Amino acid sequence: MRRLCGLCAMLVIGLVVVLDPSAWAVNPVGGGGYNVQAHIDLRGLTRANFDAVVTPAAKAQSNVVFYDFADTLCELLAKEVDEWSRSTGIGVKHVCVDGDVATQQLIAEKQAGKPASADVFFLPNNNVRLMTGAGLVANLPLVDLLPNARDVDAAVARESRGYLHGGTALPFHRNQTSLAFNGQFVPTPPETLDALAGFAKGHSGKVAITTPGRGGSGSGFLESVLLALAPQCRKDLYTYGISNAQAADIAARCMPPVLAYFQKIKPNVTFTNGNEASVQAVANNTAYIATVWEDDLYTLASKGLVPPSVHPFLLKSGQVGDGDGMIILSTTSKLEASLLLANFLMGDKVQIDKLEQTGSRTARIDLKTRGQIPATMAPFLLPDAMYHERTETRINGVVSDAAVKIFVQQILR
Amino acid sequence: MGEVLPGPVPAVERSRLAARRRRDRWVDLLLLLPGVGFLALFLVVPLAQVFLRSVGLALIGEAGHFTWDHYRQFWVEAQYRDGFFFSLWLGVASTVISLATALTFSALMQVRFPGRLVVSVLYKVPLVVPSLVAAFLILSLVAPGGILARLVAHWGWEWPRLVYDRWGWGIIFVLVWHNVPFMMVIISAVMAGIAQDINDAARNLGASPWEVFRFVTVPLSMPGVSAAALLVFIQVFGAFAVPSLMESAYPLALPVIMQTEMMDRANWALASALGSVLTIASAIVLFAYYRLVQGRESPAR
Repeated sequence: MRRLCGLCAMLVIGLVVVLDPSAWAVNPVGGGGYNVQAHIDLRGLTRANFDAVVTPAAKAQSNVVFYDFADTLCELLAKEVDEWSRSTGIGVKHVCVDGDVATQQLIAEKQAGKPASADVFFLPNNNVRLMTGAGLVANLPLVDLLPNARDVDAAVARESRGYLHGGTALPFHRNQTSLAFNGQFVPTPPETLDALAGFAKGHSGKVAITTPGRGGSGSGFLESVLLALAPQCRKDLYTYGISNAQAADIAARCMPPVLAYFQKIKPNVTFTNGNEASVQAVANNTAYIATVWEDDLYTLASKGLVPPSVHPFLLKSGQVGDGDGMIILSTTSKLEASLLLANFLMGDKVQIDKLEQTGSRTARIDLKTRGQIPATMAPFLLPDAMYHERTETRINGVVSDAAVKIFVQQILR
Repeated sequence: MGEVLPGPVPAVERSRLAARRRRDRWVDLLLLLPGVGFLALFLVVPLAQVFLRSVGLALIGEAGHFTWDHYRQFWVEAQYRDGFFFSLWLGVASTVISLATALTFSALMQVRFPGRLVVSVLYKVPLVVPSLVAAFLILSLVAPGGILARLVAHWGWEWPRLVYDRWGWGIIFVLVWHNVPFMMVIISAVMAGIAQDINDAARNLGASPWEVFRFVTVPLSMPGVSAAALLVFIQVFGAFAVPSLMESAYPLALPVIMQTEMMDRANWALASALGSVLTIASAIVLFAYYRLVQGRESPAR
């Protein structure tokens, strides 16, 4: 009887261990072996034993180089990383870089057979494909390993703008394209595309739309209109791994209702030459409604450059959001320290601080952000319910580029 | 008395001369090395790399193959073509307006008048102001929502659109503001070199001040005028910062499109093709300038 009880207990414990994902060891993304040099046994590393296994090895390392491409986050992350470095004793050099230039630099270093200048890289999401193709991304499924990544939104955990990376790029920063309205002139913002067109007609020149050729808030708005007016294309818009020619076909097939909509509103709206120009337009009353990035608006508002009557909102039909990821370089010789740093950056403090100070959203769905934002700043963020209900994933970037080309040709030209 | 001819050079002397010639050749090469090396390293190599990328070779991070597709794309797709012609328009318009203004003021500056020294210092002020700063100054002054727009809004007036316009008048204004003093420095120096006797002679022969300017001063200033015009045109044709800040949503200047293709879309091959087009167009203008200058100088010799 005692033996039977013991057997049952072992079975239960075994089942718990098997069913608890944090207890699973992870495999290299893409199969084969790990492409990164480690001082620990990566095959035995799990989310559950992460701290116990990684920390001792990490403490023996120093001079981790962290490339950070986001100019709005640079100051904040420098401070956070410095504090972490002092508390852990692991030296970190935080470098603010231009994302594309740094990407090219790291690839060129790899091609020249030199060690990469960085160990951890917070990079533009468009570049994850390029960096992976160059063999520079450690093939560790970070979203399955890091304790602070356990509640990452599944929709953004394993792909960056249509590129399936399998969790090697941590969704560190999320942002949202939206519309902003000035409550001084717009008591109730329009909720639908038709209502927006009606508002533009009634207030000619007072709706500012960023040109999709030069600003994400514009191309994001174009994608949102595409998703709303061409629902039959939804599947195609989210099909990845297609050629440029296929993307051009999809765009040509799906754009007619979008073009008709923009033809209708074109006489009454102003197209601006970039994200900043749109925010400025709504900030200085040149426009009453404008396409913006939520975090752009928030950052400018935090510096007192946007009147308190300006607020972001999303259309009922949904608007697309985006984000940028963080990778560990496959060439790093300080993998453990890099892992620990990446885990820290996904932690509550950094994720809440960046939301509070720059409007950069988190991909962690269980993180409680309510009450963390100062009351004076909260109106510059989308209400949580609206955000979760109306946010959409950005469509395939290649299709988006093809749609922008058609838009420029047919509407702007 | 017959001239004494030098006798045959002895073999030892010949070999010594040959050795010296060889040594001199090496010295020449060594002396040329800094200049030629600099040009090769910082001009030829980057240009060659840009061209190779534009034809699909020497790409970073991806395998390449030779293709003219990016040049075809430039010509076939309207936004790139329009971008080229917009940059050309900015170059031509800014140069013509700057030139007309600079010529007039340079001629006026040859006349002595009270306060001339102060004016001659003041007109150079824009030279020390970076064009980007000038663009911000103009934007804060005349942009929609700028100081003047806010001022006239008090009386309920609508401020006209002077920037972000399709023809780039705001951009042209800033570039002219910045380039007129630059042109004036060159043209004034050339005009100051024209002998006063020539002007006096023309006046004695019955020419009006306008005729002296038109038929004497301007033709004699042509070397400075053409050099200044060329420098300004090439600079404006490839301008990025001011158009990027002040242009409308369409068309975009070609350097701005290049930047977007390179930094936002990682499309280095197309950006390189656009860069090559800009470089070739500038080279053609430079070539035309030298032909023109040569044509003018030859009869005088």
